Amino acid sequence: MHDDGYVTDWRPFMSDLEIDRQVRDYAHDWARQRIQVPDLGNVLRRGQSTRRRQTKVYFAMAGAAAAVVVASGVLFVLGFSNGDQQESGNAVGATPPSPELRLAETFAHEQAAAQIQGQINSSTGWPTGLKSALAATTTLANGSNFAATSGCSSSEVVVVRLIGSLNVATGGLPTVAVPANQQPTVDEITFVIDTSSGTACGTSVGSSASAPDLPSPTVLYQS
Amino acid sequence: MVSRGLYIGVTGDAIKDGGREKAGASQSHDEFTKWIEPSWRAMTVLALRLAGRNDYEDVLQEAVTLAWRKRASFDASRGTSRSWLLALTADCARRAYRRSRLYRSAPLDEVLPDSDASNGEVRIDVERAIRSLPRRQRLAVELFYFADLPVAEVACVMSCSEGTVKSTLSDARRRLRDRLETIHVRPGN
Repeated sequence: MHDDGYVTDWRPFMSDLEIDRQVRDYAHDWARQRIQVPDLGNVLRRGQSTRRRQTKVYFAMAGAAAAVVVASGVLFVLGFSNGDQQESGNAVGATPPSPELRLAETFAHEQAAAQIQGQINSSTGWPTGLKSALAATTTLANGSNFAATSGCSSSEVVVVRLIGSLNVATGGLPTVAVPANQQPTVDEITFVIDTSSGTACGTSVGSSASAPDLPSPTVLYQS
Repeated sequence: MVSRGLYIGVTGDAIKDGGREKAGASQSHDEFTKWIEPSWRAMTVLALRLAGRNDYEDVLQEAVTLAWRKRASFDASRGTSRSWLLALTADCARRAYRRSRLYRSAPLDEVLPDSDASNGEVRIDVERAIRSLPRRQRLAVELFYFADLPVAEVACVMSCSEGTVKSTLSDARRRLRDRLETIHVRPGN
C-alpha cells in the first residue's frame, strides 16, 4: 500500500496492438478536442516572443537603465511589436513600417546577432585578425562589408557596431565576411544599434546554447 | 584569404552561406508564409503536445523565426519541408523544456481531452504514461500518433533511419504497456 492509501493493481496483459489502439484513440480524441491552431500570419507579425526575449535581454543589462529606456522608446515609436501600437502610438510622427518590414527587421536583427555569434562559434576556427580588428570598435555601415585580415592576439573586448539605417527596404544590411582559422577568447560582444535614422527597431540575441563559452551579446541602442 | 561570407539580407536577395547560394534563401515574406502553411497544423500539434497550452505559441514563434533564419539551409533532397519544420519545432520545444521544465509543469488537465467518466481514468493513465517516456521515445510517439506522420517522415524529423523509428516506437509501446498495466486503486474500489 502506498502512502496515499492506494495499492498497486494490475490490468490484464496488453498486447502491442492494444497499446497501439489505446494511444491512437487517445491521440484521436486529443486532436479532436484540443487543437486551436493559431493564425500563422498573426504569429509571424505579432512578435510576442521576440518582444519577451528582448525584455529579458534589457533587464539582464544590469545598470544599463538608459539603454532600456531608449530601447523601449524605440519599440513604442516604431510600433514594432503589434498592430495596435502601429495604429495608435507613433509618437515622433515617423511613418510606421509595414508589418512585413517590421517582421523583416526583426528577423534581420536576430539574424545579424545569430550569424555574428555563429561566426565566433565557427567550428572551422576563428578568423585571423578578426579579433584584433574588432577590438577597436568597428563600424559596419548599411550594406557594407567587413573583412578582417591581420593578426589575432589575446583576449580583448569585442565590440561590433552595426550603424546605418538598417532599412531593409532601401538596401542591404551589413555584411560580415571573415576568413577562417584561429580560435580566440572573447570577453564581450556588443551590438550598438544606431537608431538615429528612425528605422531600426528591436534586436534579439541569438541563442548561445551551442556556444556555452561565449558571452551573450549585449545590445545597446544609440540614437 | 578564405572568406566565409554571410549576407544578412531579408528582402528577397539571395543569402550566401559559406559562399554557396541555397534553395529557399530568396523567399519573400509572403512566399515564406505560404511555404510554412501546409505544415502549420502539424507544427502546432507538436508544440502543443511538447510545451503545453501556455507556451506552445512561444515555441511556434521561435520555430518560425528559426525557420526564417535558417531557411537557406533547408535541403529538399534530405526530407520534406514539413519534417524540417517539425524538427525545428521539436528543437525549440526541447530548449523551452530545458529552460523551464515545461513537460513537467504543464498540468494534466491542460492537455487531457474531455472524456466521459468511463474512459477518463484510462485517458489520464495514457497521458501520464506518454509523459514518462524518455525524450526520443516520446518524440517518436508524439510525431507518429499525434502529428500523424508516417514512419519515413518521423525518421526525417528525428534524423535517423526508419528502422530506428520502428524500434523506438516498439520500445515506447513496451514502456507504455508496463506503465498501463500497473494502476493504482483504492482498496475496495
